Amino acid sequence: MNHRLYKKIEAFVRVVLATVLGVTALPVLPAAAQDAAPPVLILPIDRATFLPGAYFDFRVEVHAAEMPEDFAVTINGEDASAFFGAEPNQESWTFGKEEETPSQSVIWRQVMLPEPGLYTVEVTAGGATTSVDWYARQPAAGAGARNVILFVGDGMTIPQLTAARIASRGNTQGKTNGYFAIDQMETIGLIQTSSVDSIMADSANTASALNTGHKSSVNALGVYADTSPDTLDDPRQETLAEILKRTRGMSIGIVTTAGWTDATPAAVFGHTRRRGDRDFLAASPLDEGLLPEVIMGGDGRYMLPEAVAGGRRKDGRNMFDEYEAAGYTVVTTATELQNAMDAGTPERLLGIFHSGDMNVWLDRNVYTDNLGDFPDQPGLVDMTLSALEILGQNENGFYLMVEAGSIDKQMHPLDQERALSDLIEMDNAVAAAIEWAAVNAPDTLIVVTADHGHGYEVYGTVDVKQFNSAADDAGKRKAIRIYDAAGFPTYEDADGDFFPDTWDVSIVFAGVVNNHPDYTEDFQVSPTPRVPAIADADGNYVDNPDDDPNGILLTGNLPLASSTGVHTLQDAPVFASGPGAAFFGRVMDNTEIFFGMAAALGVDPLAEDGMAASMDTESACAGIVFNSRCYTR
Amino acid sequence: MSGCSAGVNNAISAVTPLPPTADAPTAPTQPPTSTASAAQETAPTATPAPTPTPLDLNLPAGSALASARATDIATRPTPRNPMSFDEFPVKLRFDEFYDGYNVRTGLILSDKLLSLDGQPVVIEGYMAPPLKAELDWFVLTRIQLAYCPFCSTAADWPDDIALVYLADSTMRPTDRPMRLYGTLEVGPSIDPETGMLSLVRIYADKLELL
Repeated sequence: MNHRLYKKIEAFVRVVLATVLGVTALPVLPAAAQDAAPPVLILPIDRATFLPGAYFDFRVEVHAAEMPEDFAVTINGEDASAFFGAEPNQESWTFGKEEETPSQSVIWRQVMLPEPGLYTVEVTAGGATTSVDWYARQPAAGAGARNVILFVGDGMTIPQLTAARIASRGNTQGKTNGYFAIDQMETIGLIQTSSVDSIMADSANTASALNTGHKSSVNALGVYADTSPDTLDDPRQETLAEILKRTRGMSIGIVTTAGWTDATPAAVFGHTRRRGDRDFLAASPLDEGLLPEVIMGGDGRYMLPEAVAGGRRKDGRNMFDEYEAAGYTVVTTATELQNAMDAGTPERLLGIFHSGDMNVWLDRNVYTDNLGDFPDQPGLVDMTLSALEILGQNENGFYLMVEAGSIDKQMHPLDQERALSDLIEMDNAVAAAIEWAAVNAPDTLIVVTADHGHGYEVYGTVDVKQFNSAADDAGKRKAIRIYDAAGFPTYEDADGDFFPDTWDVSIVFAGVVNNHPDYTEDFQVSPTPRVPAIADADGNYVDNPDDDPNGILLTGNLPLASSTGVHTLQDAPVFASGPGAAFFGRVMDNTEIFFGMAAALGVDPLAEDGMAASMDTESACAGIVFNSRCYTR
Repeated sequence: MSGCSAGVNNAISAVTPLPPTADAPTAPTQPPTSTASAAQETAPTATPAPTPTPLDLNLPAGSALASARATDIATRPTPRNPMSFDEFPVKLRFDEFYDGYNVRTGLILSDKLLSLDGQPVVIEGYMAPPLKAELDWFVLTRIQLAYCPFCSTAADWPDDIALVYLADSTMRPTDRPMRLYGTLEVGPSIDPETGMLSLVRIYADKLELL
C-alpha cells in the first residue's frame, strides 16, 4: 500500500471515528514541534469535513511579531494560492488578556475544495511544519427528499421527553397512554455536542454545527473562531441554507419562539464570532442576500433604531421598512398573520411578534397576565403551518428550521412546567408538520433534534398539600415520594389538546435540574416566570426570597456568579422521518446532521443543478459494510 | 442634609448625602419644591459636549454626572395629553413608564413619564448587577435582575430601566431595594462611545436603601 493511499484511508478512518467518538478523540500530533517555532493556528481545524464546492474561508495565523521568512502554506503539496487560484489577504493584530500576543495572518475568502478526498494542509513557519487534514466527502446521491424540516428543541433531552409524555399523555400501570409524534418517528440517534474550545456548548456553536457541518466555538455562529478582536472577520463556513439557495434555488424558512436573531435561528444564516451581534444578524439576510422566504419569531427591538423608544439598533436603520421594501409582508400579531395568510399566501413573510423572545406556551395560554404588551402572539403550530404553506410554493423545495427556543430558556431558570409545555407545543408542531407533509409533500425529510442538554430529571412525585402544610424543610421532604410511593402524578388532559388542563394539581413531578445556584424549590407551577436566584451586593447569586418562598433550600453547585442552571454534556437525541431518515439512526457528531440533511436532498454544490450523482457506498467505506452501513474501528 | 424630602426619614442612607453641585447650571424653569434644595438639572446644554461614558471603567469615580450633563438627547418627546402635578417630587413607578409596545413603532411612552421630563421624581427599584465596586452611576431596575447584561453579550437589558447618575458622590453596590430622589430626563439617549442606551435617566439628589 503506498503512503498516500494509506494516509487517505487513515484520514477517512479518523473522520469516521471522529463521528463516532466525538472530536476530542485522536488529537493530531504536531509534525515537527520545535521550541523556536511560533504557534500556528489553522482554520478550518484538523479533521474538518466538507461538501466539495461548499464555500469556506481558510485562515492561517502565526503568533509571532513578524511573519517568519520561511512561511509557506501548501495543500497536498501545492502552494495554497495556486491551489485556490486566489491570493490571500494579509492581516495582523494582537490578542490576549493584555493584547500581548501578536498574530500574523493570511486568509483566503470564499474558497472551496474541488473534489472529494483527503486534503493535507501544511504550514511552515520558523522552521517547523504544522499539518491538518481536511476531508471532502463524496456527495450522497440523495434519498429522494425535496424538502427538509429541521426542528430544534433548544436544550431538549430524553428525561424531559419522558416527563412531558407522562404529563401530556398519562401513564396507567406503567404503560403510557399515548406517544408523542416525535416518539413515533422512523429513526432515533444520538449526537455529541462539544465545541472547538470546550467539551461544553451553547446554542450558537451547536446550532451552527447542525447548519454548517463544521464545529465552532462557544458563542460563535457560522465561523471558526480566530484570535482577532474583530468578531465579524472570522473565517466563515457556508450554511446549508446558503448552499441550497445558491445552488438549487430552494426556499428558506426560519421559525422560532425565541427572538429570530437568537443563536439557534441565526445559525441558519449568521456568521459572527459573537452571537450578541444582534444588529448585524438582523440585517444579515438582507445585506448578504439570503432573503429567507419566511422569518418568524420575536426580537422587534433589533429591527428598530435606538432613536425609536424601545429600538436597539445602533446603525439607525429601520429593518421593518427595509424588509418591507425588499418584498416582505410584515406582520406583528397572530391576527395579522392569519389575515395575511387568508389574503393569499405571501411570497415572503416577516412575522415579528415580540420586542424580545416570544412568551412561552404556558403564559400565552394560561397565565396571560404575563404577556404584557404582547397579548396576540401566534403559537408554534400556527407559525409552522403558515411557514410550510409559503415555502411549499417553491417546486425546487425548501429548508425550514423550526425552533422551540424556550425549552432551554425555561430550563435555565429551573421552570419545569414552562419548559415541558413548550416541549409539548413543539411535538404538536412536529405532528402538524408530519400531517402537512403526508398530504402535500411526502418527499419531505423531517428531523427533530436538540442542540445541547439540560440536567433536568424527574425522580419521584410530590404531595403538594403535605408539602405546603409542612412547617420546615424536613417536613416538606417527607412529602417527596420515591420509588413505589411516588405513584402517579395527577396531571390530566381532559380537553384533548395534549397539554395538562392545569399544572396546578395535587401530585406533581419531583423534578429538578442537577446544577443550580442556591435556591428554593417547591416543585409547583409558578404563576409568573421563575427567577430562582438574585445577585447580592458582591454580584454573587443567592436564593431569591420571592421565588418559591415555601420551597426547600437546595444549596448551589455552580460558581457563585451563575444565576441559573447551565447546559449539560449529555448526547442530544435526534429523530427523523421521511426520505433520508435512515442516516440519523446512529451515534454521531452533531456536524453529521448537516451531512444527513444534505445527503437526503442529494446536494452537490459543484453540480450545475446542485444535484449529486449516484454514489457507491461500498468503495467509500474504509471498514466493513454490513446491510449498507459502514462500520470502522 | 440636602436634597431631602419630607416624609422619608426612617430610611438608611448608604451614600454620602449629595451637596448641591457647584458646576451644575441652576434651573429656574421647573417648579420649585419646598423639599428639594438641590440644584435642579433640566435640559442639556445647547451644544452637546463629548457624550458621557458610563460604561467606561476608566472614568474617575464621581465624573459620570459631569459627562452625563453633556449628553446628547436624540429626542425630547412631548406628551399627547400633558399632565400637571400638585406636589413634587412626583412618585413614579416603573410600570407607569410605558403605555405599551407596538412592535413596528416601538415603546409608547406614557403621558405621565413624558410630563415629568425635567421634574423632580421619587422612584423605587433595584440596582442592576454593576461592573465595578465604586459607583457614580448605575442602572435602576424594577425587579432584581437574575442576569448581568453588562457581563454577557447574550443578555440584553429589559425596557423598564432607568440610568441613574449620582452627583458628586459614589456608592458601593447593593442588592437592597432603594428609594431614589432626583430629576427625571426622558428620551432616547445614546452614548456613541460605549453604546449605552437609555430612555429614562435620573440625576439623583438622594438615595435611600430600604
